[in-house]
Amino acid sequence: MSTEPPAGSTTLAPAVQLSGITKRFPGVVANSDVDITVRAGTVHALVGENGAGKSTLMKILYGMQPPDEGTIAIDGVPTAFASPADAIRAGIGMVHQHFMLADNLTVLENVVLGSEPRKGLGLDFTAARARIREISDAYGLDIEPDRLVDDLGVGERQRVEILKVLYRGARILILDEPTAVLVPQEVDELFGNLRELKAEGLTILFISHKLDEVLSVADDITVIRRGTTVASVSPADVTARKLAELMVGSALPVPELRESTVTATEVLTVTGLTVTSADGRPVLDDISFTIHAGEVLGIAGVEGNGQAELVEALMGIRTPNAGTITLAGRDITRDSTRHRREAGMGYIPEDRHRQGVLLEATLWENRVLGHQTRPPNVRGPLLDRRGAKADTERIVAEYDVRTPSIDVNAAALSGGNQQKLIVGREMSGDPVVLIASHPTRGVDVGAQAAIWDHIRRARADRLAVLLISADLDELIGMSDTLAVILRGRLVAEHDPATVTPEQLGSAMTGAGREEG
Amino acid sequence: MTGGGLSVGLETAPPKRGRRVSPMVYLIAAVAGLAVVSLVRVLTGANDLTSAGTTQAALTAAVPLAMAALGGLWTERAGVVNIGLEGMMVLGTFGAGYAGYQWGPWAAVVFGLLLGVVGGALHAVATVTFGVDHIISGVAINLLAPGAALFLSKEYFAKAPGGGQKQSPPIEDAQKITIPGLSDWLGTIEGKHWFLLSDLAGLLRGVTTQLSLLTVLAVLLIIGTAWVLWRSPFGLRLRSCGEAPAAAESLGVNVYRYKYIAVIASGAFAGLGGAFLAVSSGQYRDGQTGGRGFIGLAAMIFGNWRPGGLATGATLFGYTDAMALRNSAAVHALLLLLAIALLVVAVMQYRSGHNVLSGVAAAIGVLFGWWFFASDQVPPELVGAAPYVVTLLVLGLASQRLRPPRMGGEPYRRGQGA
Repeated sequence: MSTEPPAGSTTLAPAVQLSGITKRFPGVVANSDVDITVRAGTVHALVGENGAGKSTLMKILYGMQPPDEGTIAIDGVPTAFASPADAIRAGIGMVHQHFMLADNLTVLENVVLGSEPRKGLGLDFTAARARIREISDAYGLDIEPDRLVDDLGVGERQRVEILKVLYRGARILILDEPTAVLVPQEVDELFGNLRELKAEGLTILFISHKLDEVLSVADDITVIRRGTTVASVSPADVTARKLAELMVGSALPVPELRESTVTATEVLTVTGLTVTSADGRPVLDDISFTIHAGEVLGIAGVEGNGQAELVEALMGIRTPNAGTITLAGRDITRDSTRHRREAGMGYIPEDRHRQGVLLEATLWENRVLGHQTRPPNVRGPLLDRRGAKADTERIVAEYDVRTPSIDVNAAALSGGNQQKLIVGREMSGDPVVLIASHPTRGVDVGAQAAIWDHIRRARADRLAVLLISADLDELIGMSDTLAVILRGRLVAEHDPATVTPEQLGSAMTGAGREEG
Repeated sequence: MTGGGLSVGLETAPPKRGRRVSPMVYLIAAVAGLAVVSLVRVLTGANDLTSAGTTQAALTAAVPLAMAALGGLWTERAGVVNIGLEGMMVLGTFGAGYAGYQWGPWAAVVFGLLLGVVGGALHAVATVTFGVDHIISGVAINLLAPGAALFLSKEYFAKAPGGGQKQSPPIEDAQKITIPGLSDWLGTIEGKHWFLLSDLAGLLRGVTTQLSLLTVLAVLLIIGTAWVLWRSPFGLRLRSCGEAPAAAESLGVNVYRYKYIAVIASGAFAGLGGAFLAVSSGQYRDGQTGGRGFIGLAAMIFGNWRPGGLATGATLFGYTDAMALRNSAAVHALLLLLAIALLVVAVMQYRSGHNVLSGVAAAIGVLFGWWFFASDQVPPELVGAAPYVVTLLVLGLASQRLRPPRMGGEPYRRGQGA
């Protein structure tokens, strides 16, 4: 249980007050007339879809960008920050979504960098070590100063970031989507840390779009949509569903399929597929299934049970040790990835930054990737720029990719918009099979609804879909057939019309097997 | 809420890697290495392998390499790649020649350093301020510097007494120190040609006899660099610019300033290396550096971007260099040494699972062994190539576990990481 905020905190000046903040970038208004009031000693959540302007707002508060209009008051005192250094001086600390840590330096070095304790000309390692231990103990962060950051796990790295900020005397902490990289248990730990920080009188601004988490940890919630604040609510008064509707501005999408479109035409048939890892252990063991035209086969499983290997084997990235893969009657087991794609396989990879897009390439160049041998991207041996660009414009329009132009780098787009671009690309060129690996992971509700819509439409057009996801509601709602993968084997089949997430969950861990 | 019991079952043990090797291990490795060299010496009778003269020559050859390597360390730790070290070294040799024949060796050192700074500043302006690709800027300096040095030497040395169009008048050498008594006693032991003991005596006599103050200065600079870069706030900030400049900037570190300081310091070290080279060989000559800037860079990479490592690398390359200059019989013995070293590398790589690498090392090792037994001497044309061959082999076969600065060679623009 958290302790009560310090007595009389309601009469104190708010820790942070943003009034009428407006920020324009060439071609976009990132924030318009934003008002937020954060009470001292509370956890205040800022929720909104990707691209709603949360991050820009926080950069303004942290002095990384000046606002075009509006005022910032810290503890009731109006201030203007020219740089993060000013913000740090005012007691504001930022924990970035992408960690700002040097891997090859120790925790101690990362923490003290920029404000080192000195002894003569040298760095006072003893004092630094003592101070870090002291903070770590005071807030229960459990950080060992002399370890190399390279050796730390994600949760620990995040605690180092928090420690870094506390070391500089921050009283107001901004956490930018801190849970995006954490597994559920680490999220629980983080929330424990946050409650401890709050108990010590610190103020926390928590940015997220995961609503269950927000409801469990926040004292106040501000919802931001299309760059402006639309509501300030208390978690006691709202449900996750209501919050989501505030975020999206309309009723929430539900993953569900209408009438069955499954046909008798076998499109993708896998028989006895076996893959062994480098140390000889089977990671896929005798996998067999068939997907028909117009059918979505969902694969449920705890991550690391062979899903990634299955996808890689299907796409020709990994060579199977045994078994055959047949696409529309043709054996493609030995085909290269390019031949498989040309034969009509589309692929939405699980990690879009690693496999889906080139961040430093323009949208139309990304459109060409994977389709670099096919019209409209090529004419003879050469790239057809005009054709590729025209088709990218089509994808941007049809798939509602929000971008200033198709000539910007993919890195300029939010995750949801990058994913919509990938989906649009993979649906191009008349695929017959779509391998969708976590197609809506890390995207906001709006993009999620759009992606589900596209999968539904493709299914109606007799596409065969293999859907792998960690979101059980998505799997149950979007699949015609459901299989469970456990330690590299397909262990159970369920009817999505009748199965509950709980039943599926226990089958995934192997607990429900004997119940059959 | 954060009861310890909650996280049970999910915790993955952090990978324990033996990052810190104890000094004892280094000592044992050094003694073992010396024993192998000693064995080869006894077998082949090439007493020059570990003589005091060889040690002295190796040290003299190693110092300019170590200075170039130190320059490379400073700049690369700050995230700027500097292959212009070679050019900056050339500038250093000219500066030393110009000041040295007029005002003595220490003026030579100062002028060499200053001209190196000019080269470093040029590289800093190009790479940090204008964001020019580091390699391009470095190549430009390597093309520019020898031309400028030759032009200036024609201008200033052609009419000077004892000078010429391509060389300066002679420079007086720096002071040398000998520890009296000890040197002679060690010489006696060395003369016995005992296994291991005489070799050790030879090495010790080499470093206690006629030791140039320049060498002492170089050693102090290496130790000083290690302290500054790893023990001072300044060094921490400098290294953070090479590992995570965006993070450093977010903590109020002026990344541009530290990169400037690092690159200019790098030029200073390279210039110093050039000056040491000119002073120890008695004059400036055109083309005197002969790729030592590049070998210095290789020594630094071999040393895993660390001062101790680069000193080891520079000594290794200096040793082969000295060998090539002194005695071709000893170079022939070097073949056997190299064969043994490669076979050791092969075994080590095999044990850590790098089968292909192990095979390559073993094959080359066998080849060298065969060469040694099938011939009586190395053709003189190839003797000069020895340092480069060793460079190539060492880098190719030992570079598996190196950890360069994460953002080395990446142009950095303020605000890009945020």
